[in-house]
Amino acid sequence: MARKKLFVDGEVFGQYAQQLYKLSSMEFLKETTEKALMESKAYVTEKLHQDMKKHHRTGRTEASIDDDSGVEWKGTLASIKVGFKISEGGLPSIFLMYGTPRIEPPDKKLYNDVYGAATSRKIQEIQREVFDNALRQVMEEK
Amino acid sequence: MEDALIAILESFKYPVYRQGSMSNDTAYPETFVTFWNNDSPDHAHYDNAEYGTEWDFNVYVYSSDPTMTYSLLSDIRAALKAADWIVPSKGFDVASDEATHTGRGIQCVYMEF
Repeated sequence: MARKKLFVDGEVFGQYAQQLYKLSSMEFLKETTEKALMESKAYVTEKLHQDMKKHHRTGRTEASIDDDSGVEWKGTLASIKVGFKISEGGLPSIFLMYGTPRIEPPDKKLYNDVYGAATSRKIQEIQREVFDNALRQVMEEK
Repeated sequence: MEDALIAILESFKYPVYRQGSMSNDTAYPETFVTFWNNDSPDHAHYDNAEYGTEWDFNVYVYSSDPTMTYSLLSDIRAALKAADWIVPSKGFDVASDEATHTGRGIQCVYMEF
């Protein structure tokens, strides 16, 4: 799993979603959710690109970073993929992030870019800002 | 917290190692378990004091029997959850040094207050 899905945390943003839906429309709520996920992905992806620079040999692993997949909806659940595409040359990222029984994980930073607690907190901060701004925009238009 | 994790892993009676600690001349056991501490950040701050630690580990199972790779990891996941660890997925593939063995891993997090 060198790629994972990011979500908007319902426990944190449930109230925002309800307020936005009441004050605007389902379309605007959907648009805001997608913006929150796209900005979260941009944050993680930029860090991955930065931290892959030191592993640069052929550039193939860095090129496998998922820059382009968009938001996926399953019913009311939205997600976006971040990380490396294994089928497109991202296999070494598994080694870099997890190591093997004989080799310590060579790059803790790369792992934490995707799975670390600091990243989770930053993503929550980014998403909160997007929802705050959307709510402010709707209130100002009223 | 590492000791608590190791105790759970050792209860399955397979060798337990830290990821990366096996030497090149040590043969892989048929089935074994490894672990790695990813991070252990303060959980939160109140009055500038930490009041908890988020223990973030990965646990890996390697086996020459691919079925065992899955089933043992699944049993470990159940044991960790029963001991109040958060295990957010059923696992992912990891690289093995030996072509005879397959490996899979899980992330597990313990919130200590």
